[in-house]
Amino acid sequence: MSQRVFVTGMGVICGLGLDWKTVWSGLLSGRSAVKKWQFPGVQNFPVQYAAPVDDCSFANRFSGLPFLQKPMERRIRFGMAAAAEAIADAGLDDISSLGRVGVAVGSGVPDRDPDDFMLALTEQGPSWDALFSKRDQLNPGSGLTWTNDALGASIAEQYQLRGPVINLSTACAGAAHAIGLGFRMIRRGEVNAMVVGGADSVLNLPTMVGLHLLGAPSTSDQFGDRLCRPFDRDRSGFVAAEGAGILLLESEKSAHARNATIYAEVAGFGSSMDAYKITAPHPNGNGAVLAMQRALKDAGVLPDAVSCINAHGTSTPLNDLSETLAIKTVFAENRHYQHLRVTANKSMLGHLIAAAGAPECIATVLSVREGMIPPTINLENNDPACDLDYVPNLARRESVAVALSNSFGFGGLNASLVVRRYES
Amino acid sequence: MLNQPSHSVYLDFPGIYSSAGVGIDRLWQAICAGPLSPKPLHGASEAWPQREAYLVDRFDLSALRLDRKMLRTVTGQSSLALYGAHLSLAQTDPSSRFDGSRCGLYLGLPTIDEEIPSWSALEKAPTRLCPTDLSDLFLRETPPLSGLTLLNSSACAHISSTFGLTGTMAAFSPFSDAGLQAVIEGALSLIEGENENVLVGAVSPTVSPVRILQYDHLLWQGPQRMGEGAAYVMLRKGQDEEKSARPVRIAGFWRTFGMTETARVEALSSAIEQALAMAKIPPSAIDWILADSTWTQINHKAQMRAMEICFENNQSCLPLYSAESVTGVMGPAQPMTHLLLALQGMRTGRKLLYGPHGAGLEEEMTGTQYVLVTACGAHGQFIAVILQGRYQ
Repeated sequence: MSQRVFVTGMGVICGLGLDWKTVWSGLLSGRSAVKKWQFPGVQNFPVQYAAPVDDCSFANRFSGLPFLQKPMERRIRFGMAAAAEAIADAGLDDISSLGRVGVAVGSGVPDRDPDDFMLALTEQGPSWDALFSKRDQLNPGSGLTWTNDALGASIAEQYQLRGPVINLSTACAGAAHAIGLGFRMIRRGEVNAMVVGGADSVLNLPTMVGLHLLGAPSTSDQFGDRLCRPFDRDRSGFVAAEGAGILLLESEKSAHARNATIYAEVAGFGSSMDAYKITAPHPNGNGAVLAMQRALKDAGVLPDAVSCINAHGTSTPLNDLSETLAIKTVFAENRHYQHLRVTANKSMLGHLIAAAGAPECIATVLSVREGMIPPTINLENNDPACDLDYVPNLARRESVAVALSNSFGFGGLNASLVVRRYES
Repeated sequence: MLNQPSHSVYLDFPGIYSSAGVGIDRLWQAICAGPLSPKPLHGASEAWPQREAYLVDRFDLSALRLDRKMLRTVTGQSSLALYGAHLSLAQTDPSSRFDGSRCGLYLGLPTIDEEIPSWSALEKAPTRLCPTDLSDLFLRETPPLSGLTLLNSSACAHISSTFGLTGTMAAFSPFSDAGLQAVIEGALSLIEGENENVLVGAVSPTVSPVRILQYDHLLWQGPQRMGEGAAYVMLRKGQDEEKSARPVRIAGFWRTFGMTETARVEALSSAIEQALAMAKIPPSAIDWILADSTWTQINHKAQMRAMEICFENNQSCLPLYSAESVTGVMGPAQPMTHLLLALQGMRTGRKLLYGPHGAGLEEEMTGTQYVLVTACGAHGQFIAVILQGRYQ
């Protein structure tokens, strides 16, 4: 018999805050983590805005956690901190007491330290021999010596977990995929609980150069820290961010047995591929349509039961239009799309890339729990082609029984989650 | 999960490209002929712990009529992934009109090919380069679409776009467990009614100096060599396969984790025991074990000890085989390759064991057959999958 799956713990690390309560409060008040930013020692980098985690605040906040003091990749440090918060938030001293528990996390591009590459330079140019001979000098927190699965393994090791440990590599849909697969594992009875989510940091020179040359992040200086403006006429690209979001998912039986606080139910998951271009989403959002429809079917929910969508909403010209068209297709019956509230958290958080789906799923959970929908800020001039209710600039109090959270990755790799209000 | 007839998932259309060449027949023959010699790595020096590997020859992707922009984002491993997918899908429909609209894609991927874009940019660096000049150098010398080549998941997009697959998907990384995760999640997506067919596959890393650097850091233990390759199979759920004379189905699986030496033994033992329980068979029913090509001491010891515990026997008496002497160690593609060897063995009623002088020794395997395939992730992720076949 399949199990219902509940969210019983949450943790977020991002530019807006270092715990979910601060981040949620920031989202509701329309506060933005986007700010003027540059690489240390680098002048005139074309991308000038980002939503970084404040290193000083992070160090102060987590100085008491010894396992965070070891050298590790930036994304892993954020993920470990978010996992610690989620497990504490669930009221668990020993998460392994829940029985069989696994980890599923999404991650993106390894964090490359340019100084590591400098070790390779010789009079004759770069040399792998030179780099190999100086391997003891590599930055111990650099992605050259860390691997994509290190976060999942580190969480499992820290908390003595024995269930499946999985790393998802589906670009910007990574965390949503991890949450979806973790949800399925509990539902079918493979595990009692899962630590799920994602962590990422693209604010390193090689990755940001790659993203910039792709034309993905905005280089505009027209709007200052109001640069990230999903669905706005003047949107010009995403604003890169970093951080992590981790949720503890638990079976109904497990959550009830320990009288856990239940924030909401994860009710469905759907994924799809665009089968279109590597460099752009399908113009009609065909892949996004499939992901949303599959998630609704998986949850046994009709489209007219949905009242809120936490959009992927990247602030790129292509995504926001195709996502709008996709929503209108999925919710076409009786023009239900006219009654939907569509919010884009990236207007405040920036784009956490592979981790993005996790804090956005947490915001969706809190919307259904508290009946509050965060705004899409900086939406000052509607794009005529983006004509849904995007909850512009001010949060809205409104009952939300069922909500969707969308994540669409580079190359048309899509994931959608259905979150349902928990009625005790 | 898999022990009800209505939940049976069958394997078909194996597609593989390894150092032995194209196709599972050729790999089987190469194993029987004896170990292959690895090839020297271009530019390798005495300092490197590995100076040779099981490399694949480059192949022509022009038959796939790839989009121009896509070609510019295809890295070595993504190219291998595409070619492997092509080898499987080309068997599904001779008219090449495969309907991908209900076909899912589940992949095991390595960490992305490392040296792009930074290394190619460094090659154009002036003799004296200040760290503060790196930004300008990278901006000037990095290829425009490198943002997509930085993502290992671009391989999924390449396959989806090239073959028109729009079913459900997931991709896992970066070690051998990722290959079997793809098999398990692909099979479950069929059981849970999401797809009619699922293409599952895995690809090796491209052997490069940075991989040697990383594997050295992860304590690569010695005699094995890295290998390149891609292995794919189509999963189906349906009546046609049940009526077939030689169906091969997934009978059980389990996945676990353990980090310390003791925990790893317990984790793999538990994975094997639970997979046997799901398949509803005793350990003695296993005809053939295709063990992961472990490359760290801790995983090697864990795998051997877990086999002894689960099968109550000395490892030298077990029907154990691993293909690394012909393929090299192929990361996520290693257990996928073993899965394809299992499929081939069950279809032909034969298995491969270690023979004299390193050559594979063929033995008969008739009646109802069960084959165990294991994967041991570098950080302690363990998976066991059991296949069931019937050779008449």
